[in-house]
Amino acid sequence: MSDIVGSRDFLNSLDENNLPEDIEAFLDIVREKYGIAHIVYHAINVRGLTEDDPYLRHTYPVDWVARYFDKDYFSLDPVIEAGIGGHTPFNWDTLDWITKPRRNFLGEAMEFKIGLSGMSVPIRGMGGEHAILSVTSFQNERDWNLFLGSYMGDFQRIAGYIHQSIVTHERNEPVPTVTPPSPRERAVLQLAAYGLSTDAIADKLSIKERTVRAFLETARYKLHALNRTHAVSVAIGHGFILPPT
Amino acid sequence: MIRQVTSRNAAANGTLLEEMFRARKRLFKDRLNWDVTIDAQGREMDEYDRLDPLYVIAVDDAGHHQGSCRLLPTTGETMLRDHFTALFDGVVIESPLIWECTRFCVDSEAGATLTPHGVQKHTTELFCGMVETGIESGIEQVVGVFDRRMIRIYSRSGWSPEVVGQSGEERDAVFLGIWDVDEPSVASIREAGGLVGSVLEKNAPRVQQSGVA
Repeated sequence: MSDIVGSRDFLNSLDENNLPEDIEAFLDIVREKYGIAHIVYHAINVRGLTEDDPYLRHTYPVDWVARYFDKDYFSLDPVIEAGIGGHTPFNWDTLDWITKPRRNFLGEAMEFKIGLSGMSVPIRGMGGEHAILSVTSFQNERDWNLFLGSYMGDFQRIAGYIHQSIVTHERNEPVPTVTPPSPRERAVLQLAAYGLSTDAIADKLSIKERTVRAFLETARYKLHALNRTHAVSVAIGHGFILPPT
Repeated sequence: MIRQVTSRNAAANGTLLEEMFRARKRLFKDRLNWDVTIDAQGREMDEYDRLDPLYVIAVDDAGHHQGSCRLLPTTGETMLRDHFTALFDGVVIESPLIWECTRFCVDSEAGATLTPHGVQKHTTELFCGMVETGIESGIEQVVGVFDRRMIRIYSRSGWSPEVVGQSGEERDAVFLGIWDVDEPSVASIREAGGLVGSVLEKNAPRVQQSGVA
């Protein structure tokens, strides 16, 4: 838990200079910085990933994952059942663990030290695209709920980033297929690149402050970035905006 | 109280969802004469209801529908993307931290308890429920399209949108708005609506069973 204070700064400090290209390395960093037990990405319906087998990227012990595949726990695990429908994050303690097979499954997960608590963020894209990012922890219930209250937004951003990185990588796209920002988003990004604050950008473009934030947040997502600075550097790299001089 | 209904608990809330789809028909078809589709059972439903949306529903003590709205993340299909990009200079808002709110519906047949500012209590409860739900999901903003009749309701409920686009004039005008999802919004809505504590049903203290177990 010692590292949790300052995690928000951690997410905002990442950019192309210190972000590992390898997604496993990124999962390890997130795990360490947020003091969580494990983190796992599971693609449910993603073109180019899920045609053959379930697609997982995780920090779990390999023995646990082997057992999970071997026993086909995909059909038993209530996390997957809950994650398939809906798009709101859910705490695992709200799931149905009552049946005997599920209690046994939970017992086994405990043996592999998966964690005492868990939470999943469903990831939604166009055309029914669907994945789940899950995080587990050994924190007690109170600390866990406080943790989620503080960092749910971080995990929403991390979930989107991991999903976009994996999809880009697995489809072997020569150039990462970011979505080009619209002209108005570029105008906002350009001023952000010059170091202007949200208020100053709003002033300069005669639009409102909330609109600036919505544009920057949309551009961040379209550019597969984790934060504003990262979005600016990706936009410069793709030639969508000019570097500050 | 506000109940969150997703595909996870839809089966247990079948009757409530039926009531919601019928209330939507009464409002959007019968009263406002929108171009909406009504099925053979008299329910107003569209393709976005098939995308596992989150319904935020105001229920009375007996669990009946008093009002509702529909939320979807802007990373997938949204009405904004499919129908309303012209309202926003062609900008398509897209982020897991921004949700779209549609089909905001308060049942006019429900008993109308008013807030000190003359807004139906269920309306403010719904706004508060939306913001509380968004905060616990890590959401930062909500976007939505609305007509002129809603502007005064938002302002009296303490949760005004920033209007960023408009189409049409006078009575036919529709607007695109952005709302913030944060603690100051919750405080503002509670203040305006005379609400105390969380409106979410799941956060309510459990009712004590009387008698000896």
